[in-house]
Amino acid sequence: MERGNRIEAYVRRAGVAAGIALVAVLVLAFRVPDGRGTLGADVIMSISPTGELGLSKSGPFMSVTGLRPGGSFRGETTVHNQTGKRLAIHLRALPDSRDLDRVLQVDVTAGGTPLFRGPLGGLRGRTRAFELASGERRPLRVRAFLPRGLKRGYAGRIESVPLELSSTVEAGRA
Amino acid sequence: MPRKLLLTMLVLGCFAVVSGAATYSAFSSQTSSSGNSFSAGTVQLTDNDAGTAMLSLSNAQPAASDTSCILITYSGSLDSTVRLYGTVAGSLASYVTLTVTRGTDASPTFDSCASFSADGTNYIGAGNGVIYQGNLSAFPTSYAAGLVDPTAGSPESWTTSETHAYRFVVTLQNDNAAQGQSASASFTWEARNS
Repeated sequence: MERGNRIEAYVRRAGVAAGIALVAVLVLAFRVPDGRGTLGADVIMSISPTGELGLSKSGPFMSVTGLRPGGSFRGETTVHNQTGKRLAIHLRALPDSRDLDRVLQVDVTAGGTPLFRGPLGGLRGRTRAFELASGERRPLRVRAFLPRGLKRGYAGRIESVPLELSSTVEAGRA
Repeated sequence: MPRKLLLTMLVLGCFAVVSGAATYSAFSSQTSSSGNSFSAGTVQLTDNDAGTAMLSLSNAQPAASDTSCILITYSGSLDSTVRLYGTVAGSLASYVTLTVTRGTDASPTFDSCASFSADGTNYIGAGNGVIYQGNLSAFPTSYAAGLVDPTAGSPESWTTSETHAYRFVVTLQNDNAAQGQSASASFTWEARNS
């Protein structure tokens, strides 16, 4: 009889232990896992024509979502001198925040001539000028990238970067 | 019996601790919204004349004429309506006929009209695309009196990067009273977003 009670006690304890283990497994199994991913940067670059300068493509002409270190994106539009005079043309960026000023690298060329290469913040100032004769057209190419090995400063950033064209008349030249 | 009660409380306690910890971690989870920014819109209208005059009549005789085309570009971010008006001076303005035609230009180069194409609408009954025809002296001289683009009945809402070309033709009338007189004019397109 005493032996039967002892066995019953063991079974009860085993049942309790199994119940606890089951509850623990269920609680752990249904926990929301920690996030381990890294967000990239979303960037839109846009450009608008001016009275003097027409564009083959205007508005948002290049964009990227989830840009990560080592990634790049590019865009191209053709600039057309619509005036009757030779123009010196500059480009600058007017980003809506300074989040990517140091980390996003930008490369701008006009018909193969380099105009700017460096961080986005540097493009807030005007690029080198390129000249267009009256009626002349030239492709404007922009490439932007995040350097490999970049650790911080880009994750989850969303930035709109309007590019602004400006021109001055080259005196006495058409 | 007390032992059973104790054991039951122990089991419930363990359950509460484990599930409580999970609940706490869910409540302490965070997310953030950074980089919020605020900016005002723009209203901006430009042309392709690069500071050069459109029209010129020099030592003109009756029926002498000059034609010029100009491209107007809207680069503002807020949709706007546009009016055209001018400033006219000099007595010869009463003897000069001005015709303004609205259209498009596939390959604009100031002040050539080689690729100008008039709008297909007869806005004022003076031919396709014509928005003004009359004496230069009668051209509206203020925004309030200005020509609503293209017509007051159906004003165009200009959007970012929208362009329209305008052909201006001036002709000296065959009137003896015009002899030796002179005039000057400037033309203004003004955009307003309300």
